[in-house]
Amino acid sequence: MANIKIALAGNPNSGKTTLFNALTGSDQYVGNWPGVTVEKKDGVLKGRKDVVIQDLPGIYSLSPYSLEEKVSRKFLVEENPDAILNIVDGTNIERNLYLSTQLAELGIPMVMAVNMMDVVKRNGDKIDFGKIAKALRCEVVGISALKNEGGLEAAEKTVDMARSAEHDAESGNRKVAEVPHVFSGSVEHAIAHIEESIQGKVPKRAIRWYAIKIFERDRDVIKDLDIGVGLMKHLEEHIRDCEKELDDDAESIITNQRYDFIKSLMDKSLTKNEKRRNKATLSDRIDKVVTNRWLAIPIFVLAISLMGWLAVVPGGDVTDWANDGFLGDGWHIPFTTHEVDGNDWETAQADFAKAEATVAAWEAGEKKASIEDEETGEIAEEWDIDEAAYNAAKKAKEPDPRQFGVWVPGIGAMIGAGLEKLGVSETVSSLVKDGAWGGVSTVLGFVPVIVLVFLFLAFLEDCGYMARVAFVMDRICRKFGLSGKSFIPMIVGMGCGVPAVMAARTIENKRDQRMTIILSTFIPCGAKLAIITMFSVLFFRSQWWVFPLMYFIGIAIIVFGGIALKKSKAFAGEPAPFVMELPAYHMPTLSGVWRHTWIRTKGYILKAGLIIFPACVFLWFVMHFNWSLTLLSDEQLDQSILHDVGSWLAWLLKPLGFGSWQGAAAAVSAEIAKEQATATLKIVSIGMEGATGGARVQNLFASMSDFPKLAALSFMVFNLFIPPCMVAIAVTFREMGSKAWGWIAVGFQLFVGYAIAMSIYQLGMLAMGCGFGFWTAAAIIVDLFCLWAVFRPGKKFKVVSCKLKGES
Amino acid sequence: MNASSYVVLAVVGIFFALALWRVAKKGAPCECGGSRKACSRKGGHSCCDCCGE
Amino acid sequence: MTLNELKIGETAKVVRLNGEGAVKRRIMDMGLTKGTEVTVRKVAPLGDPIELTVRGYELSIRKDEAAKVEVG
Repeated sequence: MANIKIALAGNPNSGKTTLFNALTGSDQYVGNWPGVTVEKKDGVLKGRKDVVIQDLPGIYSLSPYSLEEKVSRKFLVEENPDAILNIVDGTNIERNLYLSTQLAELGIPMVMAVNMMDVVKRNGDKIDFGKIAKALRCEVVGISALKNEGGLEAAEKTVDMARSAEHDAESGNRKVAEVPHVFSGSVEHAIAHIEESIQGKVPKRAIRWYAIKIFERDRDVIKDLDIGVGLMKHLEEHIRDCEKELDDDAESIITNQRYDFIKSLMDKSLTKNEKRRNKATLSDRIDKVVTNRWLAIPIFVLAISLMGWLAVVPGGDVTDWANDGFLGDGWHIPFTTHEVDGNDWETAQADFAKAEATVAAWEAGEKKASIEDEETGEIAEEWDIDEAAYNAAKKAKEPDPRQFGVWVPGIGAMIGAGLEKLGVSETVSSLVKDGAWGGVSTVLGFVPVIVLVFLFLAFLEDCGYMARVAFVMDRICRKFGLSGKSFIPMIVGMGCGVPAVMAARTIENKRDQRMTIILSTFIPCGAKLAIITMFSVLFFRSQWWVFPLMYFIGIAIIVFGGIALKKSKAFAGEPAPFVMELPAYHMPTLSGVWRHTWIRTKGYILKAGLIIFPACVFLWFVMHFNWSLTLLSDEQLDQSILHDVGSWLAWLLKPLGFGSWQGAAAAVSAEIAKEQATATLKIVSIGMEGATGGARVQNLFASMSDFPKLAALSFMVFNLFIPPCMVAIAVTFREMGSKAWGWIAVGFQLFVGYAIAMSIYQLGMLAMGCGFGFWTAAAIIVDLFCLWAVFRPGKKFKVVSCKLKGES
Repeated sequence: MNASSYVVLAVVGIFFALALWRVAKKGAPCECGGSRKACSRKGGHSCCDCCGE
Repeated sequence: MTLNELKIGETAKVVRLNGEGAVKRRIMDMGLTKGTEVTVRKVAPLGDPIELTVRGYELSIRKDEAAKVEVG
């Protein structure tokens, strides 16, 4: 028997994808905001190889309004699924049934699954499935997709329905599917007329659907069916008679009568719990605070800052442990540590470092020894030495960590020991230790921070806050010509730029969608987080504000960039309308949040192995060989291939403060994947002095600029705000729909990143009293240009109607 | 260079080639949250072709 | 009277929808049709858009769009 195709259709945010995952055992992304799913996808029903389930983007109606609604409509109408499983949100059944009445008219066997029955029951409401089934002529079952109740039964029922319909078709006595008649007499009369005249032009079972669409004067349908002018004129008469009689336009008549039909059905079949009616639900109470007039924006700022604090303060400590302990030298298991000779492990290490410094200084013939602070490079401690101190210091032995507690050697240390045991040559050992492992471990060291941010983001997505952000931000977004919906891709972009660019599809007009795509990747994504964390630890003493500051710079770029773009001809026009459902809040489930976090973290870890590792090995090679392929030592790196190639590009970066071959290599390689910047910096600083990788990176920046912190800030900002990684750029090109638009996006992003980094470095130098040079003037001119672009008078828009994607 | 150096070098080389081969075949991974399995069925190349869905 | 003139907490019935095109259709699709009871729940922090309760769920539209909905 042939494969059976079942379409999952329903309103946005009604739980289709949750059910889809449960039915097919797949891992699609779900979230609590309308528009998570923007493209259809299919899966095989668990245990039934012959049943394919299609998950469609959520739609409110079969009148195509936004892109994903078009996808769903096209599929349902043209690809003829064998049956429809219509998911209906039981807590919001009235509006959900509006789509169901339209689906029923397609004449495809349909089962209605009323979802979220657990919540309906908890609320004390009652739904009479029998009456709904009778009215809409389909089967109705109650399910709870989240609790995994009833979904499989509903799917089985749908399969049975599809099979019996197929059987009828094979045996030749196919019944024309019964479809509900929901309209009043005169409308039904007109529809009957239309049906009669389009017979043979459309598939028999969907004839009623087509007739109603023609009655509504749906442009797409009329065009596709190629109805002659004469016939249309004739039909138009019937439609006009109806409109005259009911004193309304055809579209409104259809919509009104559908809702009237549902209303009377609800009066019969839905019993609301009267006690609850006037009680504020938990959702209402949360909403009162979160979208409060005065608190809403501070709460949003606070949420981002909290995430920043999490990532840098506790996150920084965990990163240290991951880098130096787990992936580096090794670590003590907590609570197993004890003191030896009255000293703990840290003091013993510090004492030994002091002893080493004493020995070195005495042997160099100095009278004073000193220790530098690892983070700042300043002298932390200085003391006098004499021969007695030297002799005592000479006897000091390196403390053995194993004496101080249960010591777990780090992976880096194990690799080093392994290589030594094998007697591997120094070059190969450097390739493995400094090149491959040095880079990969740097990237992996940020996993804990990234998990924290992904957890936070997953919570935001699941609880229902996303739609509220759009609601709160709409007024601001409109100031620069976008709708509040554009803010959702920007929040999604905190995880990864790729889905952010794709989420822009839910925006109804093409112009605003393009603008959202260009702007949304300015929000630092998870991979850029690695760069922020590294720089805030190395150059800004792990200050908690570095992280939120970068987000707010990103938001500022979006706001001002948006204003500037809107004033250009290509983007001028009214913002898209804002008509949006605000879903009820619900407490995210632990497993759901964890699943989201894990899927993303898995991507990050996989990338470390599949992208970062080969890139690091490649970089090590081009850095350790010259053009005649002779191996170079760590002191000869300035003859390497990488040095030459980097130098060609370095002059471009000179005005930004990191114009050396190392800086160029790091900035360019970061386009592979943003976190590659951290790995590349570790590798290109091999030739630098310093005990740890971090110290070498600090020295690298010191070698590039007299103001290493300023150069570091400039480097960080440059990497955050130039075009995103290659994958995201590729998706940008695809979603933009044309190469020209793709280049515009990339060009704009490149300009913004460069301009901001240059302004920070040049104006920062000016502020530090470095005098006025050519590049200072250039930076000021660029800034003036930007100010002009933002503040020049633009056209005022008063036109209220605007073209939507659905219109041609 | 001794024998064990060549062995280690070969191991690095094999991993290098494996990584490149996998990326060429299955596309670059990313933090998008998409499922490559569901995506390839649809004809997508990398998980990123379908993420955000 | 139009929908944007309602105060927070007030309930009214939709009398007529002005305007035309896709936006009007969308508003109707979302359940704001003639005769529907609609309550203004709140106004966004910056004064726009507004949040409504229609047919038992929360819908948000801009004041511009609300101005096209006549209520009584």
